Amino acid sequence: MKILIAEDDLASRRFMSRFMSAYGECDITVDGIEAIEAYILGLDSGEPYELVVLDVMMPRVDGIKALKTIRELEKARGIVGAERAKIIVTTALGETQYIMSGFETGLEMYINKPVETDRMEAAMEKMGLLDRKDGGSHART
Amino acid sequence: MSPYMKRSEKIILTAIEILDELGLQGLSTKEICRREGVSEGALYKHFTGKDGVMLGILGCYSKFDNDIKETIILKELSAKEGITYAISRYAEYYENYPAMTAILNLYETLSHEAGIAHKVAEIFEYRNRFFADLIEKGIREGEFKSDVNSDSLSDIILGACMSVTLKWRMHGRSYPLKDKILEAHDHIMKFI
Repeated sequence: MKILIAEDDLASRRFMSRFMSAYGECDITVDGIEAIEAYILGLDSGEPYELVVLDVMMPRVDGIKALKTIRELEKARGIVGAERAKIIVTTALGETQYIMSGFETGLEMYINKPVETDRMEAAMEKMGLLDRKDGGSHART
Repeated sequence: MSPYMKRSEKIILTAIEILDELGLQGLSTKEICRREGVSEGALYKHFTGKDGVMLGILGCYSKFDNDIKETIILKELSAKEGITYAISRYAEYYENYPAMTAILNLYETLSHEAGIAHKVAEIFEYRNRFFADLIEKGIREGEFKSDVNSDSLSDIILGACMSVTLKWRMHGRSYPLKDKILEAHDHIMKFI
């Protein structure tokens, strides 16, 4: 599974990279602009990201704005339904109006920070990205 | 920057970079347009001039203020938890977006600009009131001593953040800002 992680905080970035690399190839960006650009590169190269994990409070462009832009990009390229990337937002903010606005534009799930690995796994399973076998969770192939 | 960003958004982000690098004196519509590769006419399609751009910058600067307040309410944090939570969020955001800290020390200067003074005052008063209200909650609920003056303590908390951030900027941002802000904050919290 190809995974794009956008996280500005160094400690969180290291944690997410280490944890998520068990499920697929991870690319790391540090703000919303880099995330959008990486997403476009993925589409253009024919290797789109299946999962995008976006922090909210990031420099320059925040995670909700990046989410909305990614969804607009997908719509413009005719990428719909199950073909769209699964997007999880991670945030230390609560269910504020701004976060909730993400659900109106195709946010699948949000997870509170600090991110707990079992919650992230459960979210990925719920979104059909993981299979449970041999007592563990694995990226669906 | 991404071609998928609106021109107005790109202008604001470029303006924040200029403010950080060159200060308020260096922030001009000419410099913004030079970096963006557009004519001043193109900039004026989106903004009324430097004041309009500054209003956009101030909007970015304060965009998470309501979310932070809303989160404290949603998570039912105590006064002390709420204050620490807010300080942590701002500290982390500023550490990871250093350019944004250029604005922290410009309140007084910007308050003399007729076109933006209202926005500066709004942000300044909102943040002061936000912390003062939390402190008053803390006093009511017995978390803080009853003789604490909420306005004075709010000044101290915000003043510490501003001073630590200024020192960090003047020292070339050579150490983690969040650690220093939280250290100063912990010291303050011990005394109340």
